Amino acid sequence: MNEVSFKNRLGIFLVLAHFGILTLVVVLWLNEYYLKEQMTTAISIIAPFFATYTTAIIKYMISGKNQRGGRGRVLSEGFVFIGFLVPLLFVSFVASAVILKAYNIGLKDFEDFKIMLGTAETIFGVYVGQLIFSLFEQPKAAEKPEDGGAR
Amino acid sequence: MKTTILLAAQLASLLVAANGVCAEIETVRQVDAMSLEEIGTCSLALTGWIERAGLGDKLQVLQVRRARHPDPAVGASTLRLELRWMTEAETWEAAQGEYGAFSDSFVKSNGDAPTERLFYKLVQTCKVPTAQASAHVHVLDIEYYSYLNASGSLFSGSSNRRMTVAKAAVPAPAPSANVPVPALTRCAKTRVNGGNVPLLRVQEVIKRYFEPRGTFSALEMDGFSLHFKVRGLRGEVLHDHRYWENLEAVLFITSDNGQKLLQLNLDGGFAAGGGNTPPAATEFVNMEQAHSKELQDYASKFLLDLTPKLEEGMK
Repeated sequence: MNEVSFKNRLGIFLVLAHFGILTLVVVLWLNEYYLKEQMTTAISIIAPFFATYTTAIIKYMISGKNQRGGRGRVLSEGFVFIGFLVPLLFVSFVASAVILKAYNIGLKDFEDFKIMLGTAETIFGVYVGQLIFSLFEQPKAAEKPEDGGAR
Repeated sequence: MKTTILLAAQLASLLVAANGVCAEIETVRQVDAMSLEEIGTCSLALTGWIERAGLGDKLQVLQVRRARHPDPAVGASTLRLELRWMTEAETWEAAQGEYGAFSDSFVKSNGDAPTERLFYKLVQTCKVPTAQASAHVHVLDIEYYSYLNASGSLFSGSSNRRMTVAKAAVPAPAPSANVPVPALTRCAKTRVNGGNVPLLRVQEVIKRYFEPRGTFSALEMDGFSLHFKVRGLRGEVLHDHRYWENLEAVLFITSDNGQKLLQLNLDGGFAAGGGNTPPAATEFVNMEQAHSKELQDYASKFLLDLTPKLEEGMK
């Protein structure tokens, strides 16, 4: 898989996951699986987790809106695997916490739920952050790669 | 006195007969056996309740102490809750009128006099036998009080330094503006025709009432009251929702003009969640803030449902 294609797929996945999980929380609240205070607290915790990454991704997507044909370097299979696995685990962890709390399975207490989210951030935050910023942060003018990357 | 002894004797015999049921009932503390620390804790809890009910600027807890029962025929010690009516009135008459207006407003919104509600809350909070509690409010030199007398009736009255016992619990209201009276516990009353109402029988009826929908557990019982909890209910009080609900109540059974008077003090909590596993107890939000009307309606409905079932059993 080439770099641009990987970036696009990963970026779209994380943006969808971000808004998907927030929508999930709201839908669960509407169905009385969360109280209003719990819903707002959950959103205020979850939103910043993803916002850091999605901001970089959306910025990248916007800057590359007129992109034509550039495919970037070919990525190793190992990198592609890790590149998808870590964000996928992160998203699954957060989504699971949201669903488990909604059904009071394992997380009977809202404090446990908050701790679970904090744990997710601790475990995955560093890896996802490194991955996302290395891929999506705009290189400074002096450091622009030869092939141009996303334009 | 006779009723007290009779009910106590019935209760004792029924307790012996039904070990399985009684295993989950805690022993009610006798006032004489309470330590000063326990009384202090109880006083703090009552002070906290008065604050949360928004009455902190009107009623000040003076003390909770052991004393002789106000009705000499009862003979036992009593846990006596004494409060002072906080007033800025410049004359004695104005102060009495102020309390009168408050009391009238309280009766209108809660169905019973402030001292009666304080009496029930004292029993509920301090977990003492109903026959060993009394609540007193001092308005300058006048004292308003409620306690269970020897015949098992809730007696409310007032006295001053010179004369004692006026028949009415509530003085005539003064022509002043209504005082808004919040209450943290919803309450309902009803009367039961017939003879004695054994509390174990009441417990069984209540258990059957809730059993398919929730888990009933009796917490405490004395000759006049049953303290119970029901967990795992859904949409019981808040019909339009599917929240988990927990109910905690004290049912008082007192005598009144040859009939039995049932009074239910009900607290409820709700929590969100799907599936079959109820959330932790800490997740439950008190219904009083947002759903006080539903809780009040439910307390009334519950007693209405309970009354014929109890009367049926007494025939």
